[in-house]
Amino acid sequence: MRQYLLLRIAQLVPALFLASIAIWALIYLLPGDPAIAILGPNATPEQLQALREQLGLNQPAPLQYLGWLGRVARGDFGISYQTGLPVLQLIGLRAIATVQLGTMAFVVSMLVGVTLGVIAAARPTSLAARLVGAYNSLTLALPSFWLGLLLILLFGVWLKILPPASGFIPIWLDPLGTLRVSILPIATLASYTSGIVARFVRAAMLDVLGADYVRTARAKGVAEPRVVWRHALRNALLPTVTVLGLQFGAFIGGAVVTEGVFNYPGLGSLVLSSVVSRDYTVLQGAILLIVAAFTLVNLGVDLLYAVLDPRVQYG
Amino acid sequence: MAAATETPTLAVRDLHVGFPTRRGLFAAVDGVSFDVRPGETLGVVGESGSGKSLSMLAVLGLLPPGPAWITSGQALLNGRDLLRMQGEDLRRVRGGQVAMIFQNPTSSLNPVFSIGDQVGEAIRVHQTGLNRAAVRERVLRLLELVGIPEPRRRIEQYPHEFSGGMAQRVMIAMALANSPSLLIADEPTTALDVTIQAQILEVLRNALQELRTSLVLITHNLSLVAELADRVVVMYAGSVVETATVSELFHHPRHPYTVGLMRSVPSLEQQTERLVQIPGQQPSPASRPSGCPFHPRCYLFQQRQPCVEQTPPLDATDQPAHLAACHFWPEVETTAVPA
Repeated sequence: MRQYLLLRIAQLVPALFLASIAIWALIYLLPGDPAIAILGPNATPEQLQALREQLGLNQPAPLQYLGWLGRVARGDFGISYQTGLPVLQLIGLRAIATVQLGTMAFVVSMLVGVTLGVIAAARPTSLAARLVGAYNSLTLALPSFWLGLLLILLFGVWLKILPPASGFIPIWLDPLGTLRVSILPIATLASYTSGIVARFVRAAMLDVLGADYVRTARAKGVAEPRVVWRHALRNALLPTVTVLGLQFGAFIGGAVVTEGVFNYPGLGSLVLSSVVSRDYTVLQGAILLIVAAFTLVNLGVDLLYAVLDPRVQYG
Repeated sequence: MAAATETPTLAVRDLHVGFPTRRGLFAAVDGVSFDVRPGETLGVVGESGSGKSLSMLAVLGLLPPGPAWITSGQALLNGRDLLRMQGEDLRRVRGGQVAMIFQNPTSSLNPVFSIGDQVGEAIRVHQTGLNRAAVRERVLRLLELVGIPEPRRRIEQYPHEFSGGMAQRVMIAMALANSPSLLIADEPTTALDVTIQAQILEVLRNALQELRTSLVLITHNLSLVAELADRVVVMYAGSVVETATVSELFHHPRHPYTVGLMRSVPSLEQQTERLVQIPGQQPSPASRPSGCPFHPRCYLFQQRQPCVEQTPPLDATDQPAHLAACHFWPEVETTAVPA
């Protein structure tokens, strides 16, 4: 097990290396000159040239990349062009804000998705199952920016029961306040994923409920709720876990949009504003961090299998 | 063998199982009646699709999900009708008074729970108030009863660590956990290789004797029936066509289908070029022939009207305990089967 874990962590290094090239190249190839973005359109050619030299922008591309990689490897993500603050400091607090919001949205989408999926599968011909089907189609079809705007309009502007824009309150300082400002972004972020989870759980449950061991459980006198929620669900969650790991990517993508809509000070809105203002160092750092998180989450998912399924053995 | 006057452990009366389709009712089981007496082993034999498994699954309300099954008739377990039972009553009967084991032992155990968990659950759902140690002690005793070596180590293991034969022993242990009065075994050895089959039969026989449990043995394997059963029910196309004690049935069959079944068992003494088979195929419930469902494949038919026009009732023959559903049963013994 330990050997497997070390191997898997070692495998992350080439993956992250390739990702760093892609991230760096993508931003390098973006049209627009950071020097102009920083100094504005009225800067003189001499000023621009001086800044380019100061930032190393006139060096050949491979050297620029290697220089960046070397600094990143030492934990130096550079200075934000826009704010003059160290990138790491800028990202730090916002990463915490995004993790907090993301975790809550993830828990909500799991609870809602699993519950709806199980209900739909336990009685496939019932009215409840049809309502769940409608919910799935609706959540998959609604773009999150639009859903977010609708929710703001309804709860924040017309009913005036929730704040229309949401700030970041650390949950350990004021749990109730956190809930109040986060409930709309959570709903926006969780709706899509909960629909996906519900669909997968439903399909997996329908499969599992016809399995021989479910019949065995009924034959030995296990009550129906226990058959469904213990014997069947435990097996149906195995394929669902894989989907969840992959959904993490969509989750971050959704966070960029949702945080923008709600003006939530997270990593997503940081990425959005950095794109707009061509704050390349921040963009590179933030995306690299997101890629690292994605690979780590999927490593965690692989390890979770061993916990959920006794047939899986690592080593 | 138990006397015929005793109240049967299970009395199945006019059982129908089917589901509606666009082209009418799909009747998989069509008016089946039989008794299982206390302590006896009843063999239920027939080809695949004869309705033998479905009728027993219907009795316990365990029909596979999918079709909208309709079940009618009666299944009296010690006088109480299982087909009218629901919810908590039915749950208590399942695994309590009636237990069932299945054809594929490895897929019948839940892959994510340990063996101890699964056998223990069979005890816990019927006897609340037992503490963990007591349940564990009883699980160990059950595993010993079915001959699983090193039960203390095996109890912690998971189904994928068990061979088919060992998994079937676990299933038997689970089924016997609450000393049921009736055990239904649906093709219990079909998925196992021959040497393991014999061991499983031995385990079943010993356990049944110890607990005085009645057994319904569903199988297409006639030698299994000859070895284990006291009485036999022969099913064809959803109906019972013959029922008798084992020795009566094997020595004096009264239905041409039974004769065909017995002839198709390959024998070591007689060398044959080809395996003997019954011509034709069992009809699907959707296209059952008129009159006697067996007549298109029957060597006694000879274009006689009653076979086409009337369904023969399951009636007494020359022996009162020997019932057969054939208009011309006296001819079975006197007519040579065409090769």
